[in-house]
Amino acid sequence: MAHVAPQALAQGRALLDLLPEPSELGAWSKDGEPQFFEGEDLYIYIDGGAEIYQEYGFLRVIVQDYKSEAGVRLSLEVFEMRSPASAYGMFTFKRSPRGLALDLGDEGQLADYYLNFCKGRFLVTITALDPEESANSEILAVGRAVNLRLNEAGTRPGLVSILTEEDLLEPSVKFFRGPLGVSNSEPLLAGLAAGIENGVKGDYVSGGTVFVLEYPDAESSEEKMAQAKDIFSDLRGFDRFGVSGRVLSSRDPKGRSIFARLEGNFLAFVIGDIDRDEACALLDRVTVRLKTLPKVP
Amino acid sequence: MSPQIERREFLKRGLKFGLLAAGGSAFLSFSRGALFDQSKSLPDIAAVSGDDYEKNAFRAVELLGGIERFVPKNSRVAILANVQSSHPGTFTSPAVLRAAIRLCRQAGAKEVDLLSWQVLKNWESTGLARVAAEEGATLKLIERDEANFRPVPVAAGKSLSEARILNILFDHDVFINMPITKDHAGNRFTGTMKNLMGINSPASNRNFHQPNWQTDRTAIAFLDQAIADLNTVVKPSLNLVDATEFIITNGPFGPGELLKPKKVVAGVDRVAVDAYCASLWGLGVGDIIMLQRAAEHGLGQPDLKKVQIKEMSL
Repeated sequence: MAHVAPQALAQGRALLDLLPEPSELGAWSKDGEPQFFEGEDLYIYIDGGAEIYQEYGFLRVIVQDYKSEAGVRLSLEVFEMRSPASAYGMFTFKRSPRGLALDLGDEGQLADYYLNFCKGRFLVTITALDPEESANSEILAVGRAVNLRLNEAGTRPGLVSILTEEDLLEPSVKFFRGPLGVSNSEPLLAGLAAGIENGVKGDYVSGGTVFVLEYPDAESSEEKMAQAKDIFSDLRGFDRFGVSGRVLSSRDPKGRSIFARLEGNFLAFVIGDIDRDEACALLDRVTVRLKTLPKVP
Repeated sequence: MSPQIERREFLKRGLKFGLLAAGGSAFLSFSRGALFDQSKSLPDIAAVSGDDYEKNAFRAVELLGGIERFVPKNSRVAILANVQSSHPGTFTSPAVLRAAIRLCRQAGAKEVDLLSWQVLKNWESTGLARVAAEEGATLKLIERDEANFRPVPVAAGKSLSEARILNILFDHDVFINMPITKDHAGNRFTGTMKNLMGINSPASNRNFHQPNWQTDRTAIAFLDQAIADLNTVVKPSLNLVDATEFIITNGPFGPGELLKPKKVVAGVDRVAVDAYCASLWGLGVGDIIMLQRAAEHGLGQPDLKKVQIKEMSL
């Protein structure tokens, strides 16, 4: 294996066992040696883009390319994350808004030329390196072979359950473990997401997107609510600021409506082209569920 | 070899390659003209779309005044492509690279070198090594050893006080920057300016990211400022950007959603070119801190209304 430090050899060997052998894959062979990266060495592999994995709780990854007799190439990456919540979160970050849901692992999805699935603490990504060649059946075959080798399972983090299912666009759901994931989905919340423990986001048919950010304690969430009030009322480009009951409202420079509500350790937002009644109804449904939420491990 | 450069050699090299000392600052400029063509007879940005990416690249450079504007006869050309990953839409198109090498040959370049501290595997799996071999360009893979990089003070730097530039870059007369434009999970956008991290040492690049993998807004702003700072000390002769097929999610590594504008974009002004490329998928200058910081450094024009753009479809 390339890039294996001696102390990481044991973990590397464990990940090696997850790589399907060519005999399981028909007319495919391994293309080159597997690569193994651990901890901050992920920077060597994902140069300039490792932070998001680190934010979600990256431990190590093994990478193996495969090649068919016809010359079609696939890349298999098996990421071991800190917890099932970390793996699920990274899965939601990477999945396509337009992919096909798969019954693979805990959750899986096939997109145009790549597949992601999570299972327990593991996130598996399989990519066709020549997307002009249709390789979806081969991608699926590799995915199923890895799935059989993964002997653990996880469940969705509890916070995801606060997104009520009615009218929810499922592939849009993202679970966050830090501010970078949040700011990628909604730059407007970048500052407010500093210090979060977890977060979740989902788009609704109504045109609104729900974000819920979880802070370590009520003091932190109250401080962030005050910060939100400052941003939405004072910053250039924001207008129509108002407070009605427990809900802050404003309009951002792009003309989108914003509604925010504090609930214990949480801040809930609805952002988008949505009217006040619909947004408040969404916030009500979310906050009812927040009150009975189990803690994310 | 010592990573330190003798002051005498530094000045000698600096004079030879346009490394100007002004108030303690250093600036490695490969540019052969004003930032904007004074006569306005030529566009600042040329963007050509079509199914044949090699032809698009040829035409984009032609619209910009022709390769001879950038590559003198008998010059030694350094090309910096992006070979960060072999996932689709994350690396410079082999067709666009092929065009660039052929253009340099056409201009009478004595030497065309592809500089990289990425590993050979990336070059092979992306098909870019094959293009280099077929076109007679030399792939110069540099070990990540700090001795292969030269300290360059960043006098105007706010996040970055010293860059560490590939020694071998100083042996060239022309520098063509050839990124692929794409998404970036940290600062949302990759283009000409971020690509210059490919000539800075990996150890120095790591300092662009704050310790302990902080990922909050301050850390991202620090990264963006560092990229803008780096760009104050090196100015490419030409930026030839692959905007043919690129990822707009899960960048910079992918796999992610592919957008296919089928465009090749050429220009000297990095800020303007990046602003144009970002606009291809709906990002504005307000969305990208790096562009704002670069504009504050005076590196170029972020307002596309003030830039002459020539678009063409083949």
